[in-house]
Formats: sequence, structure tokens, C-alpha cells
Amino acid sequence: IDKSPTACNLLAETIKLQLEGLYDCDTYKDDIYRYLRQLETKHRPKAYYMRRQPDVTYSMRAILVDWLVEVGEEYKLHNETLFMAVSYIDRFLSIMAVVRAKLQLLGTSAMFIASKFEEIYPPEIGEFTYITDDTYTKKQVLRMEHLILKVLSFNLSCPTAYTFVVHLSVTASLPDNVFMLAMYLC
Amino acid sequence: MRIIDEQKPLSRASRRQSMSEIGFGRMETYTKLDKLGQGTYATVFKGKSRLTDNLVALKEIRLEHEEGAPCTAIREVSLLKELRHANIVTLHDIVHTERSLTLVFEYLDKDLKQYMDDRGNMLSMNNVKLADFGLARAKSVPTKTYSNEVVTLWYRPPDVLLGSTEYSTQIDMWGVGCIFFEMACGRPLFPGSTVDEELCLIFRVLGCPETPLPVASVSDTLLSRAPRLHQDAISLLTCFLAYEAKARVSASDGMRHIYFKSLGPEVHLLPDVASIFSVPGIQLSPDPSISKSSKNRRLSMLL
Repeated sequence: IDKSPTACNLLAETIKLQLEGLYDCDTYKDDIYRYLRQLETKHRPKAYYMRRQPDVTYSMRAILVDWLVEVGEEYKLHNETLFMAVSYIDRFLSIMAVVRAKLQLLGTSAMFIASKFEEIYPPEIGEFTYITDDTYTKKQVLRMEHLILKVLSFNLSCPTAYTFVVHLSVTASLPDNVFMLAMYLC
Repeated sequence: MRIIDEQKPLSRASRRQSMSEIGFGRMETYTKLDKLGQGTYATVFKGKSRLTDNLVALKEIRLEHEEGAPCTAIREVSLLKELRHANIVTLHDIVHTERSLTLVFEYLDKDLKQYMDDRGNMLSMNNVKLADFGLARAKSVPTKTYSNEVVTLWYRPPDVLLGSTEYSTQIDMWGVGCIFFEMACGRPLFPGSTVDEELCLIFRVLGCPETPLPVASVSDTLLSRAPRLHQDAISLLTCFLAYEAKARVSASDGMRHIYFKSLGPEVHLLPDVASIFSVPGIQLSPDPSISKSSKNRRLSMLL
């Protein structure tokens, strides 16, 4: 993410503008928040899941997430899409052992699913094989998609850290710099 | 499948495995009966579960195209899985193969139109249930605008028809008003076939957005089109049909409208999964105005 001050201010400005125009469902605000908190505990990765992974490590996960941030920027995907993809990856790794050669495939398919869930115009599958420099074929991405959906039992609607940062920033009318710091931290 | 071989489940035995042994998630568990309908991305069959012998509805989504699971299916399944409500169709099972994705729903024997048509004849205690969440989206704090190609044309609110993409929960309250009218009259309120025609039909009842007609005159028009609705019902209807999205009544305020007062206070305490018919004293009965008129007719025949 571009962390130059102007870019940050611009981002904060657009997000705030959008929110002011749209955040007018006062009646349901508290219900939604309570529901999200409850949903968060229902579908979350296991703590320390990496200890049980025979082949991949925390640093490999960090490299994967950095790469996904770039992918998100390349295709101008929403922040929520990126955060969801990372959450799918963590939940998948909490259940299945993955070899390091397939970690990027997991990331690609997770991003593909998150885009289809969240984006108005999700990039096509060809874009996703292209960004892996054709390391994987479309068929592999689709098979991994199938496997992720099965392992996560289609439980794809789950809040992320981003959901809560935005929610809290708006409800507590946090100043921009606090919001940006929170975004930076998560 | 090669990938599965490489990614073995971690030591703790998967609960999914045992569910699969019972028969969940497998097409062999369901017998396909008649075809019920075909949409742009799915075909719906009546079916029977070999596990429970219950009737089910099988919504079969073809995965022929390259893009894998369609976004409509991804959203519909993941959102329905979180919903448990007496008035929302239950998703029992999902069968996902390479060629198709089949959603197994509880079987509802009628759509709303058929249900309303039959209601006069048999006092059934069945609940009305919402189904088809293909265009649904998860709702949290709204952070971005969506597409304006949403909602069946007849139930699409004027702000969205005119191109607004900044919608929220109020988008549905317009549709609730249209359906409310339709349930009372048996015909749609604004049955336009194009966006322009849809707007014209709306303007004819409510006036132009710049010069909206006074509430009294809107009420009169609606009353003349829906003679079965009395004054309180018309008042509720006009609360739904506000041009300004923000001025539309919310679902929770709508439920407190005087129109629903006759149902008593218990309906507001009903748990999500309980049917409204579990409240003592609430049952369907034929519309008194209709039964009276038919009795009159019969009387006049006797004379």
C-alpha cells in the first residue's frame, strides 16, 4: 500500500466521503455490529496453526500476503477483498497441510473467491493465472477453488479486521490520522 | 485429484468426513423428480432425499464456463448458511462436483402468487418464506456503492431506476410496499417492462419527483386501485413508497405501524425461528369483505 502522506489523505478522504453518504442505517447499526462480533468467533483460524504445518512457515505466509497486496493494487480491488482472501488462507491452513509449492496457488484461488464474493466486477480467471506468471493453469486455480469452498464449507461471509476498523472509525467518528494508523497496523 | 493427495487433512479427524459417510454432500442421496423451472444460471428440480424421504428442491447450477463457481452462487450459499428464520427457506445441503453445484433446499409447494390464490380456499397454517438470494450481499457498514442493475424491475425504487448506486436497507422497503399492494390486490403495482415505463407508472401514482402529489391524493389513487385496503393499510403503503430513500419507513418502524396493531404485542417478541402462527390467536382467515359479498350473492340466489 502506498504510504505517502498525500495518498493516505486522499484515501481517508474518499472513504470518509463514501461513508458519510451511505452510513444511514442507524436503526440496524447495533444489530449489525453484534452479529458481526458473533460471526467473527464462529469462523476464525486456529491460533498457532502454523506449528502444525509441515512445510510452510510464517515468513512464507508474509511473502504471500505481500504479493496479494500487490495483486490487489494491480487490479484495484477493494481492501475488504484482500482481507477476506487472507482470512480464507488462514482458515484453510488451520485445517489442511499445504506444500510450499502450492502456497501461491492457495493464495491465488482465495483471492479469486474473495473477488467473486465482494467485487462488483471481479477480474477474470485469466488475470489470476497471468499474475502468477503462469505458474499455475486455470484448471489448477479452479480445482483449488473447489477445494477451498469444500474445506471452508462455503462459509465465506465473515468479518475481517478491516470490517471492524471501518465500523469503529465511523461509529466513534475517529479522526483521520487514528483511522490511518489503525489501517496501517492491520 | 492430485491436489487433494498433496494436502492431507491435519491430524484431527475431519467432521466433514463423517457427514459425508451419512450421505450429505453427495448427489446419490437425492432422487431428481420433475423439473420445476429454469433460470439464467440454474435449473430447479423437485427431488426427494433418500436419507429422510422428505421432498426437497434441487437448484442445479451448471459450472460449464471457465470461471468456476459463479459469484451469485458463492454469495447465495454463504449468506443462506448464516440465516436461520421461520420465514426464510432452509438450505439443507450442497453438492459440489466439477460440473455442477447443486443447492438442496426445503421444498416449498407454492410461490407467493399461488399461495395467495389458494389462501381463500384452505386455511393453511403454512408460513410464507423468502427464497432465491442470488442477488444478495453481506451487509455490514456500507463502504462502497454497488451496481444499479439490481432488484426485479417491478420492485426497483425510483432512486435506483434513475441511476443511484448509493443504496442501503431502504432499497428493499420500496419493494416491500409493492409486494404488500400486490398481496392485497393480486396484481402488481408498477408492472413496467422497461426502466422508462417503470418510472412512468410510478410518476402516474406519486407525481414527478420535483412536484410530488400531496399524500391525500396519492392515498386516493391507491385506495381506488386497492379497494380491499383500508385507511391504515394505505397509510402504511405510502410510508413505503417515499421518493426519498431516507424518508422510507424502516422495517422495524414499519412493524410498529398502526396497521399491525390488531396482531397484538406478542408478535414483536417472537424468536427468529418461530412461526407467527405460534402466537396464540393468530391464524389466517378468509377476508371478511370477500366472504360477506359471496354470502350476499348466495342469499340473493336463494331469494
